[in-house]
Amino acid sequence: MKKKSIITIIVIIVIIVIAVAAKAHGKNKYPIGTPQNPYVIQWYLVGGTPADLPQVEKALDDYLVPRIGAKVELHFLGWGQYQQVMTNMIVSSSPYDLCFTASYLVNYENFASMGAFYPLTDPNNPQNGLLEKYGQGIIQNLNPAFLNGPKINGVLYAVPTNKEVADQLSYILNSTMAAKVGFDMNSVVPNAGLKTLESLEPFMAKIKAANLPAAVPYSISSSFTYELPDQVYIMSSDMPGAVEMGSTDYKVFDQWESPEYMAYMEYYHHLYQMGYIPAEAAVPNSQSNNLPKNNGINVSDFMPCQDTLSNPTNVGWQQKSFGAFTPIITTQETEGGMTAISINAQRPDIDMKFLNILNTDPYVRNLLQYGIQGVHYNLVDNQVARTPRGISSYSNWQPELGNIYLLYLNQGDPADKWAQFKAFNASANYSPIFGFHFNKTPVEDEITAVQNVEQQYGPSLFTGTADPKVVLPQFIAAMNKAGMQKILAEEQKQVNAWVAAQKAAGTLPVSKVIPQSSIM
Amino acid sequence: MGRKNKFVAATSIGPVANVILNIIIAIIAICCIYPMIFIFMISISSEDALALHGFKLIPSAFSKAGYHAVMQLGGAQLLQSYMISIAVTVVGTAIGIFIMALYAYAISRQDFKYRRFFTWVAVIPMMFSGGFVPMYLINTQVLKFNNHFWALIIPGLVSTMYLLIMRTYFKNSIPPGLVEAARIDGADEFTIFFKIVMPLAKPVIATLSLLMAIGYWGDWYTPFLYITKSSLTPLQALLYQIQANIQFIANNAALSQSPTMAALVKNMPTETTQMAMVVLATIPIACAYPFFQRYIISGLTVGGIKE
Amino acid sequence: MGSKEKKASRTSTGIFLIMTIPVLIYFIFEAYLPMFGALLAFKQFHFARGGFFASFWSSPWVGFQNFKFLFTTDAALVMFRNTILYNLVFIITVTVCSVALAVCINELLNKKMAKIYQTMMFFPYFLTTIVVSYFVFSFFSMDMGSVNGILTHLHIHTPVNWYAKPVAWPFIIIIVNLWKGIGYTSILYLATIVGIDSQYYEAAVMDGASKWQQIKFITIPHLRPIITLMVIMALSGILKSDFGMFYVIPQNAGALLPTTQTIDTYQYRGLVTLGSIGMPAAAGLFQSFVGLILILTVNKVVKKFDSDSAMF
Repeated sequence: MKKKSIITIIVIIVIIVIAVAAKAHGKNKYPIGTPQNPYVIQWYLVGGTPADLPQVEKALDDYLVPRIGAKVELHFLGWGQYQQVMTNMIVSSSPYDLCFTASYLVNYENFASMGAFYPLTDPNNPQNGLLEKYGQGIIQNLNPAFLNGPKINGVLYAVPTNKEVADQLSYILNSTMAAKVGFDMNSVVPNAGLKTLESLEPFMAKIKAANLPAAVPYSISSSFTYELPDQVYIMSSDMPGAVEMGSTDYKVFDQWESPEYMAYMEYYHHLYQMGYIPAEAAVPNSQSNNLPKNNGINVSDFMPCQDTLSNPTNVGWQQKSFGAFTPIITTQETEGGMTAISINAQRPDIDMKFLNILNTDPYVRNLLQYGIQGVHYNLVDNQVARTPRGISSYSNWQPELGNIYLLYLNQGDPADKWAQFKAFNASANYSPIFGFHFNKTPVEDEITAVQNVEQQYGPSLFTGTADPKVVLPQFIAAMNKAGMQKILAEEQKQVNAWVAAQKAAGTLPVSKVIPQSSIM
Repeated sequence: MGRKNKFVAATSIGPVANVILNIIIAIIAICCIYPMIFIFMISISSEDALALHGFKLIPSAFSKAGYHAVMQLGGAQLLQSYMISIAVTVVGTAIGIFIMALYAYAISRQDFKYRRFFTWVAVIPMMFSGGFVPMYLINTQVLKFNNHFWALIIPGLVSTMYLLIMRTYFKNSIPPGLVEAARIDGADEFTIFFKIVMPLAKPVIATLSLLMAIGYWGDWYTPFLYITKSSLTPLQALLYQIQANIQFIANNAALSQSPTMAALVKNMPTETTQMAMVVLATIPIACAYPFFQRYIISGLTVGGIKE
Repeated sequence: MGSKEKKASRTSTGIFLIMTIPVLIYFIFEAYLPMFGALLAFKQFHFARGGFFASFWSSPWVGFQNFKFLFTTDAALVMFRNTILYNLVFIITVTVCSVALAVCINELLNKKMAKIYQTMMFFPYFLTTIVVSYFVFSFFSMDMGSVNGILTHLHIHTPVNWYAKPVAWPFIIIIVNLWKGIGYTSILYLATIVGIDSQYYEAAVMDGASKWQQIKFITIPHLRPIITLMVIMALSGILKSDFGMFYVIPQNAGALLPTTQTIDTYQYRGLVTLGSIGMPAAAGLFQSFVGLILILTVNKVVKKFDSDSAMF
């Protein structure tokens, strides 16, 4: 055979390769980013892919092309998939323009510190910042807490979604069940920390006594941790490092050894022993099949208007929420839902222009949220009434993906819904370390070890399963062995440096209420 | 004929031993299949019975709701996923077994000059991997097959373990005399491979084909990483997505009131639905097993005589 | 060698080389090219505009810093002990049981029943880990599990909180591992047994060997190469563990960590909030390295006794 045929084959292959390469050399004489040659924005979001996405995308493109010379391609990744796949994409520097990031998903702080996202502000040259140049609308609309909270070393790395910014734990009572067992909800004391919970105990007792089938008086699961009204946390409530609300000395301490925390742990143990907390609460995934209608009390972060009929979780039962403490604004809350631009984005300026439109233009915002008016929904009395087509083919868009205050109200929403949000934000106090970001690099090994200790003891301690008198000392001892003191020392060091810098610049957060911007 | 019977008798076990063995193996087999039966029972129980009594082998109330919900969740999607799973399994197994058999045969031959080198080439990746990130990088940016049909097939094509098992089999179970005779008759290596070695290796080829098919069928991880289009999502990945969503909800209870989670919670399939999906996902591959078995035991006889 | 034979052998070599090409290409792209990523273990990864390689080159070298987290913790002893012990027990139990099972199935007189048993024993392999974890939960759940149901019904004991009892889980995990793998592994051994030439048995019968002697002196020795191969390959993963077995099946229950924490689960739990890239790479590199040393050592030992069974 051999030599001649091999050479022939190689020659043919080379010719083919050259031909393909030549063809791939695109011919479009207009520059990218103009209406004649629109730039395609690749946007990765979390949620299910709506069936009618192509139609909505087309409507969006028709609107955007003449304005900013861009089209948008939306890629939806499922909730269980987004974390892993988006992380892979970011780390391997796969090409994308925009992605969703938050404190609980594709952790904003971690990726921003590693430089994965395009810097949106430039502290040395404020005029040149991307946000400053192309995102004026965003700046004017955003609650200042959102603008300043997520900044790491003065640089903002993602556009926060304008929404509720205050953090408040809420106890959500099943009012249908309360009526059934004869519990008077007026006896609940809201916003009083432990006292609130104590005022709910009679409700739990009544549920247990009534022996309703499959009823769970107080539904918590293994990932439950306490958030105390008087403490804010440097990393999160399950990692060591807390500062007292209203603190003036900025002392960092280990929250689990504080008397307030002990009080909670002992109370939860009492609730567990009374049988109000599920016996297997400490086992992850063991509660995932509790039907909400069977739960007496659920716990969740509060969102204004969550008790209204437009909330799809309360189907078949009514709910009434009570706050656990006065709302606080923390750094982590400002990272509740953001859109970041990739550090490798080809045209970050066009990306920012799009985000500006998304967060200021009601047409675009509602188009993406509800679909095409007349096809997927109709406006009845200024409220959104979804058509059957809308329900089946375009109903998966998440509100955290853009300024929520531009949205039309749903049927069942109170007319003053956004005003309630505004009031909720205004009622909050700032955390004393608002804006502080902890650099974890110096103590990475200790954090790894401490995390494992927390996972070992945490669920049984915080669900009340274990007796804190016995287990808490073991927990603290193990934490110390894993390096907790070193973490606390490093945190104190960084906090002190941060406080000094803020004092010098005159930007130390004050714990009392701060006036909001004119919009929200 | 008499000699054969005597031989059979001398190489078989006695009837008492046979009964004992049957009982022991039957118990083990039942233990193995018990979970499947259990899952099937859950899939046909009613939701409320589950909430009340937990998992029971004989449900207190039956219901077809699980399967209805699966159909509603997307009958069309389900069919599409079935098609993808079948295509991936068949194509992947066929190609994988074929190229691995070629390689394994080559390195099993004592007269192949470079056999040591290529054995090392195969063994090193088994022990030493560059880690997950660079492999993902190469697959998505160099080979560019993310969201592509081949993403489901290529990563799983070759397994060093199967390669070495085939090599061991070729080396030890193919009589060298046969190969020599063919060589003398002037046959080239390809002919020897296809006409002599492969037919003799049917048991191991069939076994590994079965194992590989099962591997492809049950692989949810590869699609999870590389596929986001629902039209390319195979069955087990679909099931996994649903279960991962549920676990996400369970582990982020603090977000349960946000409209984000609310929509997710509302559409969450129940236990019975999930189990119905498991049943539907497992049945095809379970049915494939007898198909392979024919070839595996083509030599299976009493005491090891070839029939 | 005559020139005709020389030519024949050159052609053979050529054909052998062609046979290796497809798999070789696979290894190059899927195994060897990615190996550069092991270098990530020695870097503090930071992104730079310009893609992955730009980021890679601009990230600083940090020596062995990324490896420290595996050793400087108190938990290191526990996780190393767990990982190694479990793997050794897995290897022994699965090998012994599957070989025994394969031999027994081969001996069954009723071949139809043998087929049916085999099919049934395969089912565990079809189930994904999450489903298996549901199943285990249905046994060991405190309120609704069958085990507690039996215990209370027969008045042996009050309900036990199994997911808070670390001492029970080595047994549970070993049995689940056995249950899952026995159909799969025994079929490999069975295929080998089936391939044993009947001439050996004929000769043995003529020498008057009993059934047991036939098994001991013919069947088992023929299985030796493949058993050795499987064991050596399993040893290469001595520091690795199946995430599903040690995280998913115990439902990530914290109280069970003393007996379910392995190197892989420690790394996963610890790095969830950190998002480090170098540390997982370092852990993987270390696991592979130890596996490599082990394999080479064991292979050398095996070669001394039985050079046919050695892997290379």
